[in-house]
Amino acid sequence: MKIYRAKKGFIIRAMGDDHLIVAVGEAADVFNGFIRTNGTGAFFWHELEKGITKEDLVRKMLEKYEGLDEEKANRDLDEYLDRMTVAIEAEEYAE
Amino acid sequence: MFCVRIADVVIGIDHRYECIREFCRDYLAENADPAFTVSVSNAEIMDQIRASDCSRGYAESLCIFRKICLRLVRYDAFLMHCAVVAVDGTAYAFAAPSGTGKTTHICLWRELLGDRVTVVNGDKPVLRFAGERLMAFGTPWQGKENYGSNVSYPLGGICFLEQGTENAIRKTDMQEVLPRAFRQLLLPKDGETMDLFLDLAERMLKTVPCYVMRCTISTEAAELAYRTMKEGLTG
Repeated sequence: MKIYRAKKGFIIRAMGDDHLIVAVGEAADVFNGFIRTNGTGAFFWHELEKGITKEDLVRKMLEKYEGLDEEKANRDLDEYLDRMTVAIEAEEYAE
Repeated sequence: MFCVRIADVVIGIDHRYECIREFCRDYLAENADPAFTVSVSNAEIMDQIRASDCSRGYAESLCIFRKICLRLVRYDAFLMHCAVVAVDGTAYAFAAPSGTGKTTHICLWRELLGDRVTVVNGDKPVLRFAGERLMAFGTPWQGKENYGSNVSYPLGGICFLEQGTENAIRKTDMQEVLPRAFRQLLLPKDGETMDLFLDLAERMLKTVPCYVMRCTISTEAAELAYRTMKEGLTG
């Protein structure tokens, strides 16, 4: 199992109707820019700040978004994690 | 050490290479107490030389300017990489990735409007809120053509330029303009300044009309930009 977590130094801030993920401190030395995301992305991010497995995050998505099927939730999440590679890390843990 | 006044803030520059004083000659502030003082280390200068392959003096000047701009965030001011001209008391900014033709475009404004045009800064103006109004200020850092002067005007519009085969301009919204604007901004590295900076950027995008323009190299392009942005002032 893997726990996905927001990397140290990456923060999210609302900007108009959007949310921006930017780097501060040492993280700003390796990432100088921003990742733009919507409300759903911000919801993922706040879970990632605490650290969460993919399975748990999919479960939370299904609770939050009525009518969403599991396959699509998995696909959306994979896409998101892919886009956020620079800002998140995955850590293996034994069950 | 000497002082300059940029965007109405007195700033101390604790320098190593004398050329920066001459570089800042139009902005010197004598007998004034600096709000803050900046200096750069030798290591920072060497890093800058590696990044931009320039002389030590110029590298110091670039590092100094970056530090000044990041400190200015606390004074409601920030750097936006763009070219700013003023006509009849209002400033207009043109932003685009390097090499798109910002400088060419502002030269066309001069061709079109002659002496009514003042170039505020051809490359690195400082924008600062004075109450609700965003003002564009000249700085000593004026890009390779060195166009600019020590003046300030309220900013009436920001136009993001793209090269095209015909001229077309449209007003745009914050949603669309956000990524374009952010590519032209110098982002702070510490969290507290970042929060202040993001507030300023949001205020700018909410209060200053923004446009996207596809254009040719022609005075017709300048005319279209000027007319549209001027009309946008009252809208």
